[in-house]
Amino acid sequence: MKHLNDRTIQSYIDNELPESKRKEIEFHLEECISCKQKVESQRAFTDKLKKSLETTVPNDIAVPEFSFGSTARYKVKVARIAIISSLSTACAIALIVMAVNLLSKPKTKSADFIFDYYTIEDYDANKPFAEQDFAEFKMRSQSEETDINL
Amino acid sequence: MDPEFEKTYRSYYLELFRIAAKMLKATENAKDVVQDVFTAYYFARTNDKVIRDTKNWLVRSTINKGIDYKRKMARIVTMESPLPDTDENSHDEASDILNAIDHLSEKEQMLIVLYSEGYSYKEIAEITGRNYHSIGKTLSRILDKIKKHVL
Repeated sequence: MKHLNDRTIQSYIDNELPESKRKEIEFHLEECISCKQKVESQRAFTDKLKKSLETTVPNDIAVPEFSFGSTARYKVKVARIAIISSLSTACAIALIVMAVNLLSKPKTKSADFIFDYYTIEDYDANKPFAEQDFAEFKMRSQSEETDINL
Repeated sequence: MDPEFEKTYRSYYLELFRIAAKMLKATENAKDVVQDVFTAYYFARTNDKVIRDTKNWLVRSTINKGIDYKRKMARIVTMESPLPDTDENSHDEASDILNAIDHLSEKEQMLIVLYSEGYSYKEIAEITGRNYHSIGKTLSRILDKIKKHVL
């Protein structure tokens, strides 16, 4: 039998080989000192690794009561949601206010007056506002329209 | 709290805590991670998400959240202190090995943690989504890396 490779040694240590393969290896280890040494050193190192990792786990750990959101991260999430929701509420309110303003604004008469003029000469800026005769001009433009229609 | 959830919580808490503690090397953070995992599990259950294998689901989500936490902590450490407190003077073997594990990739660390917890190759393959036949080879390679780092 050939010498054992690392993978086989590892699987052998971890008891992950089928029975037949296992026996074959044990048979080989009986007579091959170098492989036996390899297996022993690998096993020792694996044990050491497990023990070192074990030092990071405290011995006396009790199961605490389950609780939602006891973690800092959860609090951050909640804070984030609070900020986002308050900002969006503010935006919504602002939008509503703007919409109401736009809808409730009365149409300005001045705009109508200006667009009612046909040409710039019709508008006499020397007269005070109250004395300007808008009705006359309007009637003229209406008659013109009717002329065209007829 | 419904009794089935309570039962799962009681029976898996320590197992998950050990994994988280080994990944993060800090008790308080590990507790946080495990609470997070069970919170996620609770909501997954109440939202009728499909959980095929409870144990695998929990272990996998512990590992994911552990890695997530580690990345966040790494960011905080680099911002607060440019030199993380690696004890260069203490040279006992255990801390050397732990230091070597810290230098492995996230996937390798996760494999080593599961392996040290006594999971079989089959379980490791299922949890990590690796090929069952490659676990032995991968493990021996990772152990080799740690060995080289320690020596």
